[in-house]
Amino acid sequence: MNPLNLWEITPGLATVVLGTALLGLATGALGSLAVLRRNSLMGDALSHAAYPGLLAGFLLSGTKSVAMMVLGASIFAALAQWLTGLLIRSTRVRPDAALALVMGCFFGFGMILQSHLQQNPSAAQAGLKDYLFGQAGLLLEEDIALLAALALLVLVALVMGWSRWKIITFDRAHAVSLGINVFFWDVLYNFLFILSVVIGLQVAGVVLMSALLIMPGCAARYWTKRMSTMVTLAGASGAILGVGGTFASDQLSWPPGPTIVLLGFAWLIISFFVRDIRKKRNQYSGNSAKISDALHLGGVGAN
Amino acid sequence: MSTPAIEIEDLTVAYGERPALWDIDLKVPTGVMMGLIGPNGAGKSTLIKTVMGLIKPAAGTVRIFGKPLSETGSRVAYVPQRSSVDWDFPATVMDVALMGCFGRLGWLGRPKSIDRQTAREALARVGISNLATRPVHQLSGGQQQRVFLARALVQKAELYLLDEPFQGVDAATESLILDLLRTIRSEGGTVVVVHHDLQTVADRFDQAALLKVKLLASGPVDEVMTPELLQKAYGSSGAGLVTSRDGHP
Repeated sequence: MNPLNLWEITPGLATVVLGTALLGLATGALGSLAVLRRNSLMGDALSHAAYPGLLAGFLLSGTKSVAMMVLGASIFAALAQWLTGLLIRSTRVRPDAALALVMGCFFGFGMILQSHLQQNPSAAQAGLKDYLFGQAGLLLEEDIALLAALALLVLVALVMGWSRWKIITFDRAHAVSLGINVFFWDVLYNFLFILSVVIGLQVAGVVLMSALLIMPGCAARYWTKRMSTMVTLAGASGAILGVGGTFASDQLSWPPGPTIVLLGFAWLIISFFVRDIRKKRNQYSGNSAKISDALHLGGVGAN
Repeated sequence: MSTPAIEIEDLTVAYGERPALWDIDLKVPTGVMMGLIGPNGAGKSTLIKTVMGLIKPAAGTVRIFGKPLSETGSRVAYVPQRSSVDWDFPATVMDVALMGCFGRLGWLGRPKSIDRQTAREALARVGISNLATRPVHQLSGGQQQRVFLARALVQKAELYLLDEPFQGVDAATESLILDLLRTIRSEGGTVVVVHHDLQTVADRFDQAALLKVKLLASGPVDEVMTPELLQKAYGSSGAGLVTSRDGHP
């Protein structure tokens, strides 16, 4: 490997770097909400469920039309989400089982659709299988526009409704009691979530999509005691992981999606260990804080 | 007679086939401190959740200060059970107290310095000013309950509905909550508390409502906490639960 080549950025590579950064920003920020809401698995379920929709979009349009495929995938993901909710509400199936059931059924349908499409030569050439494992290397400039629009939409929604996201995530019942329209914010959250998954499929693939959503949030939780910092940090680290992972994949000739995910995992491990050291240090100062509480409150802190 | 704080008519709530509340008619006058009493599964929490619009009733109406809930804005403060939220949440004590003002904020709104001042005063009233910057996951049960109360105070409501606020808190917090609720009442507020400790009902509340899916009785404490009615709610052991307070089983 010639070290001089390290900084030689071809236009193709620049596109991929920009694309993965934008996707990392959107999924990192939005995914940290999913982590706090304890529906991290929703990302995995939705990406699997979106796959047959993607293929249906191809089947209907006859070409690899991004708009049709995103539309098809969105419809299937929304259907899967609605079905999961229905199962939880009206049967004895528990939420985790409902997610697994819906994910399996939809993905199974996707595999059948795929084997049917493989016999069609134009489909085989379109590289539909790439959506299973992601193919960030194939990102084009028009994909960048889509990813930029997604990132902008997520950021605007988060900033505009910040007090709403915060209160609904911490205490939904309290939000309802204040007269906040929780239904609207849930619909918006689901809409953004589905859109991120569907648009991210091309980069990360069905299998790795949820890691992209969850890992920045999980890591960010270790570094802060404020939700605003956590979401900001998750978005920023998602973008940095996208950039770093893409460069690393280019150097190592590894596929970009998995490289980003492995880098993210390394970041999570680092966060865990650094925080662990911090926690041990804080336990020491925490004890003295408890003693000062006790002095102020006459032992109120003890419970 | 002035408009009651809460007026419930023919209220029925069902979880699936099983009725949780059956044909409840209840008036809570303004300026009282009412205990909502009943055995486990009697529907106490369900009743206040329905009043707050968290559960949709199968039938019946709820009016608050003579209006439907959707028109009362932040005049009603709800203090859920401590265990209803995940306390491993990235927020400080101050952050959670400030959430009490979020009902007044628009979409783009952020708490203003006056809201922060209100929150600081609320934290002082519940005796945890020194914990303002503490992450909430480090709090004890009593401190968590105090944060919830501070959040409700920030809301500046006229009616307070509290779900088991005395559950699992230390003695100091218990007496602080009681003093605080009495102050709210003396300032003209109305307080309704889901409560399960029969022995303390007479000391703490001036009104009581006895619930066992149906409303068995409501009114001044001494009219509700009679051996006959308690036996109806709790079975044969119920009557003894109250008299044992004086040492006579």
